Amino acid sequence: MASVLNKSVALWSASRQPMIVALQLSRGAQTAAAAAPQEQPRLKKFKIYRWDPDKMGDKPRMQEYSVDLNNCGPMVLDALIKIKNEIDPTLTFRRSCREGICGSCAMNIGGTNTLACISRIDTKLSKATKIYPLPHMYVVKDLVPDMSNFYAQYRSIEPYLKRKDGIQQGEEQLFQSVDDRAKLDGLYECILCACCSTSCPSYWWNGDKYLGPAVLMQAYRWMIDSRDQFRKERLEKLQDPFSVYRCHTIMNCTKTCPKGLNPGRAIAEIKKMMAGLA
Amino acid sequence: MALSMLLVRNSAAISRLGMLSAPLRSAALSSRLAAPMTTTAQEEMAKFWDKNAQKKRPMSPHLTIYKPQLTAMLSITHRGTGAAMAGFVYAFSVGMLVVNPLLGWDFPTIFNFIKSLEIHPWLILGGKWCMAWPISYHAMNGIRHLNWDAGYGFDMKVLYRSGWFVFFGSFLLADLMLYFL
Amino acid sequence: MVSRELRTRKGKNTKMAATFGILRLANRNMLLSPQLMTRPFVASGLVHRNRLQPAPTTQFHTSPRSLAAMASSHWNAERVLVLGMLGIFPLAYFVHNPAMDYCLATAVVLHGHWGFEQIVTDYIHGPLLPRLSKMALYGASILAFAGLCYFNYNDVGITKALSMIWHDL
Repeated sequence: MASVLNKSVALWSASRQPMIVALQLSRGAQTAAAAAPQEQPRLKKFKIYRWDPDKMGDKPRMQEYSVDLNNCGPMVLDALIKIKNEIDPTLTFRRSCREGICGSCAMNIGGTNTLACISRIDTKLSKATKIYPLPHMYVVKDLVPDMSNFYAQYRSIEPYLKRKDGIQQGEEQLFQSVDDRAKLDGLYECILCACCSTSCPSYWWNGDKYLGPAVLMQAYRWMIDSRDQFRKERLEKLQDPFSVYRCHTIMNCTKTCPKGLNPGRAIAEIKKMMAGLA
Repeated sequence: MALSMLLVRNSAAISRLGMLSAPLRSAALSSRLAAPMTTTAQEEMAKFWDKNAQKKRPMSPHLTIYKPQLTAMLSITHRGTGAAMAGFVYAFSVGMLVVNPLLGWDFPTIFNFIKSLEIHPWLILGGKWCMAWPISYHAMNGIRHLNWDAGYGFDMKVLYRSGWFVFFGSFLLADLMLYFL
Repeated sequence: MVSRELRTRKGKNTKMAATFGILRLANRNMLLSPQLMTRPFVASGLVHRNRLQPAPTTQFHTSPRSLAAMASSHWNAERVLVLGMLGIFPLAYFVHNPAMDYCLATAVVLHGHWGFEQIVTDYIHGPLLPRLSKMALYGASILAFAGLCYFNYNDVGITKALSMIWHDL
């Protein structure tokens, strides 16, 4: 019974095949006709910083690429990946999560530091979008900066809980009230992309001894964590003219943070705490 | 009992696995899964500068490419007005310290000389404005700085509003200083 | 992963039991040891500083506690001076006397000196140039203060001079 049903369905579909094909063809033609006026490519120019360490005597230069925005995702990272896939595979840049959480694709786009994956392409076709690596950083290649100093500075502030009671991890819970936990909001979300630090002119001129907004905000994050018992020592470690006090509240950092955080405010709070010690 | 037997019989195996043979309560910081870094943060920083100098890597552009924003522009103007005024005061002070004893030019002498030049009133006004505006801008932005030092005004919207207020307000205050003082 | 000793032992069961025993021991050990998959996130302050803890980026402060807070004390002093200036500058419009003149001289030169110092620290780098610049700055500030005191004592004084420029020019 089932096989008879199957056979009859198959026969019926087969007889309908020419009609179905005809319908699809006509529909395809209609779509093509409707799409024809939109086939004009929207070409956006990207001027990207290039430098090749393997090419002898190479000097940093700007290379221009044209991308059809009709076939490209909305974010700058989409354009970079499209360029790398289709035009120039040698274009080198860091990227990973494509959703603004890993911090890899931090670069200077249109004059400000941000994450390429959450930075919308400016669709004004008359203007070229300029893409540079993070400012005042040693360039490894193209848009890739050397982040080692930044990471070493982060390490130097001891970004972990420190206690004086000698309890072992897991021995007892370190309870934290809701209010105390709320103090960490706006601080813990930092993804260490370095957009803020590399937007700070003080960090440009004194990046060797000034810790920079990203690292200082994390220093503050550990100072005000109620479970940490080393606030005084953390503050005392910053008592020199450079670590904190190169900050002159220029506030480029907060302006540029792609996660909407406020390192400038955190540094001001550190200065206030240090003033209390003085 | 069974546990200690297990430990004794397999102690060699355990140590080969890199497990701690010391009592569990020890605060020893070595473990198979977490190799401590062999360099300090300071050493890492030193290595960074050495490596980049040796590799002759270029520095990515900064001042020439970064978008001029209200934040940095107001800040550098604050420094500029401060340095200009202090420079003028230092120069005037050292100048008077030299010309008065040496040439006998005290302030009224110089003042009368300038009056005798009969400089056009608009130029005089311009000169006074050049004295008034730096002090009014520097003072107003200085108050903005003090607010920050107290912990207020860091929200971006407030920051931009206070910034524009200081910028336009400084011109207004300079004009008030010219006409009412 | 299983050691040679275990492999030579008679009987599969013994080997199995021993392996599982070690693994169970491993799990318990990992939970209770200070280590997680990465560096310790709870570092006991009682542990003697080892290579894991980086040397401080600041100089060691072997001096008494009062000197150790020099950087923040300077910051405090700068703010106190500025607050003072916010008070005396408007007052200087109304009060014209030698005391006001000397107050203004002190405040302006001190504030200017500290401002220039920040500029030198920010922009002048190297082993020698910052030290030379700071020395030159001290010299200039002392001269400037001396000059203003001279002006106040032997000449018309700051408040009178400003009044002359503003009203009589």
